[in-house]
Amino acid sequence: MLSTMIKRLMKGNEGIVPEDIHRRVETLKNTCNSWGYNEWGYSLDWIKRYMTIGQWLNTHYFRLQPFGLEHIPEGQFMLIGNHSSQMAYDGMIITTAVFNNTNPPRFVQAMIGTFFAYQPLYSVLMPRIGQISGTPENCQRLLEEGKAVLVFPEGEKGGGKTFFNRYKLMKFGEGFMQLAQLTKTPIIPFAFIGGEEMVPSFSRMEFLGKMIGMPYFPLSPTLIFPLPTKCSLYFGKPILFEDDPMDQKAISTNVDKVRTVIQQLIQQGLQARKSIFF
Amino acid sequence: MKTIAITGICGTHGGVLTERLRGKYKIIGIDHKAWTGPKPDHVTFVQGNLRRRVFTNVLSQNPIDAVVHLSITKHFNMPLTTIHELNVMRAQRIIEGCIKYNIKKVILLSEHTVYGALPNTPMWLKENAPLNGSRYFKEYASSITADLMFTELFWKAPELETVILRPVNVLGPKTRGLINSYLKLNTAPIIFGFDPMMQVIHEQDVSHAIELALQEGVKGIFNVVGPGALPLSVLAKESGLKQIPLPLPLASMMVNYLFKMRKFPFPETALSLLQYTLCIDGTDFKNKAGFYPLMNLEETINSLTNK
Repeated sequence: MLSTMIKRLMKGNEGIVPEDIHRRVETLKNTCNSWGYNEWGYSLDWIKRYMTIGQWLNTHYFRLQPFGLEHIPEGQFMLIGNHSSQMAYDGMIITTAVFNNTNPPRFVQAMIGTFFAYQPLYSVLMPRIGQISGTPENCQRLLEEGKAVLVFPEGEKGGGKTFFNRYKLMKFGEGFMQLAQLTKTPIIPFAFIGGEEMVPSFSRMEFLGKMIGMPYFPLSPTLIFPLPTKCSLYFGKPILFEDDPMDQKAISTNVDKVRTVIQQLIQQGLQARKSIFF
Repeated sequence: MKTIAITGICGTHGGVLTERLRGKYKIIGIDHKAWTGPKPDHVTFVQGNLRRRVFTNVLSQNPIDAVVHLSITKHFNMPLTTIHELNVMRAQRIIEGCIKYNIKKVILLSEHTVYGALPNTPMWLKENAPLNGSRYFKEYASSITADLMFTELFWKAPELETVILRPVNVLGPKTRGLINSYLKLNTAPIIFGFDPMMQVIHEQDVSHAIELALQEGVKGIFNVVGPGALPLSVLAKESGLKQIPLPLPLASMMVNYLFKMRKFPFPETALSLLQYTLCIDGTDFKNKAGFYPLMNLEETINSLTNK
């Protein structure tokens, strides 16, 4: 059934796209030209397929349970949370979950590593589904346009952490906080549970990663086919920081505050989880 | 009526600009090529080598209000030294002449290619972005040098109203821009796994931008952005170009061969333009000169079908 669905999606058969997703994606039409492309590079047709696959995986494969979606505000916001799953499956799960479960639908654009732009196929796929190269300038522009942005402040160190460090938050970058203060953007902290077990990695194999232009290459048996872990998403309340964006001390303090909230949400999620797979 | 001097008037932009400025300015055109076809009444044509005295002669014999420098070569199959000499020496003569004869305004038509297409830059480059265009595309270095020589004028000759326009990929039936020439091929290689976004502008809009830049008080470096952007694959489809996806090493080899055979518009060093997105932010020009493209995206793309 899944292979038939993928084949039909690749052929561009929109019959496979549920009516609800079709209607939701059409709300982005005013941001696109008559070919269905936005200037940032995303395409309505690609997003329909992406959201369809994401919804199927969220509902049937990962059986995602989102909590706290009512905290998602109108206008611009930043989703800040823990990174996991080696191949950015968490980014797909989070962006599709928010898009398919909010009214009006909020299209979240993830800030991804610039190394994706060097990779064949990824360099096409990522922009077409709305994921943007994570430079501060890009993030600031999106926020100033009133868009929703997903940032993993742990960066690739979080996404590529080994199974032995699961659910341990790595060091946070501070750029997101400066941009949040500069653009007066509320931060929605979140915790994603289940990502660490779907692609358990036992080594980062950085030497191999460097050979193909990536920061790491996870040693994991489930890299291509992640395990069907039961996932949950916990969104916290929006936090607005109004300090001077040039005040480095305030930025560091605020980053620590957000990190603490995320850590608490992770603990809450892990305690509420009954089993990894059920 | 004001008088302007246009260098490289026999090139594609010169022709379109001349038509646009009919009845608004008196034009003295300079080019090393001969004028072909009927010459409009408002144009006085002088044929000569810009690197010699022809330009200063024109300035000394005529009351010129502004100079528009369009003469930046895109014939990349010439030896590097020749390209360098043409672009840099011409720029030097123009700059020297403008300062010596107290010209009020000088406009250089540069390109957004000066920024270079790189994978790790922000999506929207502003005018203050570093000029990385020759990192791989060494044949383009002299165009960047010319751009920088004109940039120096902002402090060398602050009383001179210098305008540097950096338009995105120009499309149109006449223009010889890199991407326009690529899209006018029937079959061409593309790099497998890459499909960059391309901002486009119609050649008529570039002339419109130059006309706005001629306004008194407009001064600075400006990105000139058209009605939108599309992936290269869509542009190719619209223009009827059949693309052959090849891995980068193979594409480089093929482009290298085709370029030597004069069947491809740019060398393999410029392949990053087909690989990575190069988009610029044109807000400044909109705010300071009131520029809006006259042609919409459909009209701009339709100009591709006139192969």
